[in-house]
Amino acid sequence: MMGVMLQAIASGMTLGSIYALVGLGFVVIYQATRTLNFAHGEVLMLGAMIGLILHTEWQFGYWSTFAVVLILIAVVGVVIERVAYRPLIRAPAATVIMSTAAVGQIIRSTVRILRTEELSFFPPMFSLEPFHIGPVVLTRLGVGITGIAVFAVMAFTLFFRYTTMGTAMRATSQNQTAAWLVGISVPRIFSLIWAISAVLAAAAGMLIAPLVLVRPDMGVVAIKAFVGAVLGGFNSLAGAVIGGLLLGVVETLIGVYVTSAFKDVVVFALLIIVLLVRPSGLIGRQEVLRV
Amino acid sequence: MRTRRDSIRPVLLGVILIVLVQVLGAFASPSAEQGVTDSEIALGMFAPLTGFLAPTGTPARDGAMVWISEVNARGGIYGRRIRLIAYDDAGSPTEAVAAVRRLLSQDHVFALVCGSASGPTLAAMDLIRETGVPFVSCITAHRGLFQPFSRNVFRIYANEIAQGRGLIDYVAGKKGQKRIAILYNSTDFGIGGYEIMSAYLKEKYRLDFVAAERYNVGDQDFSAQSLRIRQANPDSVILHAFAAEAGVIARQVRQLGILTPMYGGGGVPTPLFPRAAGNVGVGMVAVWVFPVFPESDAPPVEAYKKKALQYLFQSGFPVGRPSLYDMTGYIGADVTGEGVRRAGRNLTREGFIRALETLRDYVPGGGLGFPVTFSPKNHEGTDIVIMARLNGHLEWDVLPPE
Repeated sequence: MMGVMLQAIASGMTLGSIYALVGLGFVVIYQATRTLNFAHGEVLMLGAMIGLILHTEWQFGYWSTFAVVLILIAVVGVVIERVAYRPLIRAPAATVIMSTAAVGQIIRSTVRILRTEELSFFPPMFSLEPFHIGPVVLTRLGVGITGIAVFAVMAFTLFFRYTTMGTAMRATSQNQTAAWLVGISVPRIFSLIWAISAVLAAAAGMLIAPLVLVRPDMGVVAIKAFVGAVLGGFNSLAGAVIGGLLLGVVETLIGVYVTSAFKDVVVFALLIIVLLVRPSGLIGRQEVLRV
Repeated sequence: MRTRRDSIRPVLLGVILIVLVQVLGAFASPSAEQGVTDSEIALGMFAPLTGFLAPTGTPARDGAMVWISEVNARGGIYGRRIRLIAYDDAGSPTEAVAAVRRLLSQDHVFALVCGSASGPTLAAMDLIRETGVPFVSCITAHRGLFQPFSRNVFRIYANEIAQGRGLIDYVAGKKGQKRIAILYNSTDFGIGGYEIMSAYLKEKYRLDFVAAERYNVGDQDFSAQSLRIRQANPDSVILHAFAAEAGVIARQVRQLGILTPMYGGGGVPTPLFPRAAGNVGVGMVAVWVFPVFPESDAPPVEAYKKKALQYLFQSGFPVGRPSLYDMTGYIGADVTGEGVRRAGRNLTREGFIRALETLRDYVPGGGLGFPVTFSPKNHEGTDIVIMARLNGHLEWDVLPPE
């Protein structure tokens, strides 16, 4: 019985790491612009799809595929910012969110039209061969995704806290006018943060593609990733990762010990309870608006 | 100043005009049957042309169009050209009902061909039964299509009962497996298949599934279900899922160290399964309801491809096509056409239904489907199922009877 529980936790950690890695992209944008990018899942899918085409059809090497995809997707991120975010910067939050959702829909529909039957395996960065640690079966890819998620959150935390650019981004998120007055190029900051978020999405897409396969609908993973980030605390980078991991583990444990058919129902009910008790998430800070 | 007479006059004129149009319309068409004129027969189709289920509906429509183009190029049937009006239901029951209503009341079609996936088709069945419009179904395998039996409804391939029983006979009967687990999706297709297999396994083999796990379409992680299955220590696992999901599940099941043989329901043996599962899927055995595979070079498939390239896909097939749904669309239209031919020059819905009931071992689509037989009491065209195995080249082979 103990073996089953350990396996459930290990499998949940792998799943949660996927949520964490994807959720991080949401939080990075939110940290700098105080908005939500609901095209994030589709950017993830687009990255994996471009990677697939470059690697399998154009015969690019694995790492050069990665590099080219990240550059292309950074450009896509900047384009989304210029088209769907910047013109609406003074609009209500709901308008901006709908605008990003519309971009997501456009990306998904276009890919669906162009690659209707696309469903392909993308080679993994780490091996998919299972190995045992005691009673627990793991794959190197699963462990690798967890490691990368933890590394990414540490890197971004340090970036936001200790670099000039990171400080400029935080300043911009708190007060754009003040940031402008002290010489920060706010438009440049926005472009950069959307590019970074898109790169995160594409990297996550190519990492998880061997597990969920490249297909036009693979971006739906972003919904759970978003929930994980809300659970952990949307205004905290660590919150996104801890929330994602927790969601993955709880979901798997409920699936194993309670019900696999209704695990989503139970998980979302738990989310509501957590938010009722702690609206800012498990480790998020309560935001105080100075008036 | 407007008088009362002035205000009534336009109304009266309108009424006269409507009556005149109706009368002239009746004279213009010598046939009294809806959707049939001297020069044309209008057929209707509701199917998922967009969304998750588009890979079923779009090819089915195209398959029907290939057959229609072929027939029209030969001058139609008794000089009547066939016209297909197809509406997208996006896989939604509500949209399906709206599409059927529009086809009947606005487009006045003679009959419906193909239809949609199980959920949308079943939702539209009340309207189809109520209006008595002939319907040759070619996508759904759901048993509910004939619950209750409907004189105006026909199906062209083995339903889910035949498929489920065929699979259980293979796994529990031929292979002698005793500890069978099943993973199925929470759609009408998945739940229906599970209920049929579960009941048949108990009734014929006195066995219960050692684990029965369910998931939602669109799920990407199946570790919880796989772990529960592993706990039950099965000697075989049935995946009653759509092909792509079944491939992902197969990978995840193996990654958790479950090495028992896997078997697939009727949704599995398409090229999507090996594309999703890769080498993990080699050896998978699944139920199949046609004598050929669309990706094979069997003569009926080659003949179909030639026609499709001639009439519809002059610049080549889209990726992954023709699929089995191209075949079902073509077969469904062909069976409909055979009914129209047999009904004779004076085509009526009643005559068409009676004509279809005379089909005995009719080989549809030039051999793409198993022979179809209808009678006044049975409108399930066939119950033939076969088993297919994924070979080392990641292609499906029809298994010879053991």
